[in-house]
Amino acid sequence: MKKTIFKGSVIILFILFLSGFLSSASAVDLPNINKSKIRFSIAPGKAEYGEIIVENQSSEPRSMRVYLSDWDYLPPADGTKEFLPVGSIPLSSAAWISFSPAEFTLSPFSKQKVDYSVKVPANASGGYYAALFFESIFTKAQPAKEGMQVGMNLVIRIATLFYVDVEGTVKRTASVDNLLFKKDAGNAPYSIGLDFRNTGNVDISAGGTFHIMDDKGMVISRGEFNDIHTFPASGAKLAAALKDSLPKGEYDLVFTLDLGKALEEANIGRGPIITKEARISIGENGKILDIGQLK
Amino acid sequence: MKKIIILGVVGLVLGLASLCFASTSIRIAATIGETHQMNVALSRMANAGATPTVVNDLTGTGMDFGTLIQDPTDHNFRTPVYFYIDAPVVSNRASWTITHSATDFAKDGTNNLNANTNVTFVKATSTGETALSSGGLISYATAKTRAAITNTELGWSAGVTGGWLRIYYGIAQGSGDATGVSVITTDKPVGAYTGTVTLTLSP
Repeated sequence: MKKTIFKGSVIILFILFLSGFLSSASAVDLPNINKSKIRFSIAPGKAEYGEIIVENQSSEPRSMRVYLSDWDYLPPADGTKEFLPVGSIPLSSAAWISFSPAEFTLSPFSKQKVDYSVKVPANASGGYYAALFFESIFTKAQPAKEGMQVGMNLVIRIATLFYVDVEGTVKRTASVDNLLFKKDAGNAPYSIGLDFRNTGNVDISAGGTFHIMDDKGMVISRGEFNDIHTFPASGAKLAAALKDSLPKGEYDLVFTLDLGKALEEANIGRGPIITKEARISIGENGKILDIGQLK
Repeated sequence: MKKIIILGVVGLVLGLASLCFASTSIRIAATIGETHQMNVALSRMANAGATPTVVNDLTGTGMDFGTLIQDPTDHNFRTPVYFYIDAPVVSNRASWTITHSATDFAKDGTNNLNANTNVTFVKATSTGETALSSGGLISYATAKTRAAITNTELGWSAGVTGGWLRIYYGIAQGSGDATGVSVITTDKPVGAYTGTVTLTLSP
């Protein structure tokens, strides 16, 4: 009896393993790229050059089409993007980018180098953006035969995003206001919110932390804000949850926001940092009595 | 002379000994290059519960629902055929997004099936599926302009590999359809209806 159960278990485990393997192994390998974000700081009137390698790791040839597009951050500024035709956004750098080749077929297990150049006009300033797509048509619907014939094409594309800072003209600045500090009905005792606005002329990826100090200068709680991604003149909501309840007393709520997350990611710089604070007064049962000015 | 020879021998021995015990630092360096890739599997279901047929040929027939069948009772057009796309990502970036966009599922400028087609976004793993809060069951008309699925929603974070995106496409059945989706009636002119779905992987 035990043997039968064991045999059954082994068979079930084998089927589970096989189903897992099949579900992940059945996908068709499409080409990969070795650069998905390119950030340059280029002086007005100057140019930079580079290459992107497209690799076909499959045993089938793949036809690729390469083309430019604009992109924009979508609300709630969490990094989600919208891709738009060239010339759709005022800060498009698509017209500055040249590349070659625009079409090619990758042999099985082969690589293709795509050369590009970014030429910044002499009168440009601030930050400019574009996307270079590497597209392959996966399947194409067949022509109609008769009656109500329906079918869909499937296109797969991978994006390399270009971020071009015009050297010597960059203003990476932001404003933070409208402090929200409220007692939360959910799991966290309090929620914290701030309105963030990109007041500079380049993209800003920002994140931050907060801490709460009592009158003795002791930090009694700390936490993190969500990461946000903005273009110039756009805004975002920073939100955080305070996990600890606060006893009656006076506190300093201190915020530290890092506006240089994109520079750190590209390994080309840090900061700037914004620090703000506000005084809060808590009464009995954690009731918020007063929220001071953000300074 | 003897002294000089002895001193020379002692010096040679000490020199060799120092060579034997000398510590040498060897710099080890390795660079992991970026890789960013989305693979795709398209599966055709002849009807609910059928064994999926994998369509993995680039010269294949696409998401071809075939000729719709007119119901002899209510005269509406249906098909039991539906498709799903699996889109596993291979990336060593900390964050990425798959964006879903599509053209009209249309015969011409006036007639389309955007409000007659269901689209469902799920997170798939080797053990099953879970609905995605950002997708769920929606109409093709809605899916046409929205749907961005992040690595976090698919369970990828801080080096932990999660599941993959699965998207279902099905023609309205008249029951159990997404909000805003209705069955194809005889009002729709006969002809070929086609659309293009684009999946974009971006950092």
